[in-house]
Amino acid sequence: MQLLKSKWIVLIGSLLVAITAGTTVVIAVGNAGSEPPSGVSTGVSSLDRLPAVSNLPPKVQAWLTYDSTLSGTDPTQARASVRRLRSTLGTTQSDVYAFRSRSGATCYLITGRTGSCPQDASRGTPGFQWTIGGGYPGVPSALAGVVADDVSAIELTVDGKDVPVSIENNFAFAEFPTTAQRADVSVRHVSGAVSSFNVNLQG
Amino acid sequence: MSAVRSSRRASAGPRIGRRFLALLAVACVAGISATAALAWSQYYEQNTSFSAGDLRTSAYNSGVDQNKVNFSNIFGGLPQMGTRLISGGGSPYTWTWSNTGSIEDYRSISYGAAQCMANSGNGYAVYVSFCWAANF
Repeated sequence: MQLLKSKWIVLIGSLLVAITAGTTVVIAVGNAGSEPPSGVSTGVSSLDRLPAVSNLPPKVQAWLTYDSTLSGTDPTQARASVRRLRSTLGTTQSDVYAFRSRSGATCYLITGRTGSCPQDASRGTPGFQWTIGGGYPGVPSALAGVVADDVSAIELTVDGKDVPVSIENNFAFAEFPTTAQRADVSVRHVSGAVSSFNVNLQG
Repeated sequence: MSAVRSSRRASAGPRIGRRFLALLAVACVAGISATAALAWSQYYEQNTSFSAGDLRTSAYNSGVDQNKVNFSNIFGGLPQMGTRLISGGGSPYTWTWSNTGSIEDYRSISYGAAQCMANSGNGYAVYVSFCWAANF
């Protein structure tokens, strides 16, 4: 009787182990075939590679003070980690400044236009933390944002027409007419995966 | 007589000084008030949920040049929020959209208001920590 009881315990134990192992395999296969991680959590290496910026214009300094406070980042560390990712971009000839916050997010500013300081690196679309739109009289709208290291290209279609997107130093930028209604964006990852989204530009 | 004159002259000095100081104080207070009136900021929405298409507008003011929105997708999906400026007349600026949880809009307008909105295409509600506008 005691022997029979032991056999049952072994049998149930084996069954539990088998079920657990099976579940793990299913999860692993599921992850291998699914979308890349969200946001830019695979890395933004330009922030480590580019040289430090010696002088910041007053408005950039004001942005840095605000965003370092908002993100709980030590202002001195934030100042030391600021990099200029792009220069003289688009119609407004804007520069793009960025720093890595305490949480590892990339906070950026496109001078005179827009910026973003996500709570952490994993927010938003896989591979691309973006803003889109933002035109005003005399200035076209734009798709802009931080691109993760694992992204090979970004494709933009506005109202059915392809718009070229430039990527340099982990930052993407493209301009298009303010009258646009709809944008379709595809983020191509080095792995071959594609993350897509669309935006109703008029709200 | 001359003693009286000199006494009057002597007391006129501190009186003029006091008047000058009083005027200076008034000017300083006026200056501070004017600066306070010029520098403006407003949280025009805070800690609430936006369904698709929900819109908020700040008070109107001169020289609005900052419009910031912080939000999160605690209800799921990747909902998009937008910001823009509007004026009393003329066409409004186009929306700036994002799904990252943070938009900092640095466009400026001589006189107008700031707006924040949840995109009408959102499939999920979005939690808005704040919509904030300023002119400094």
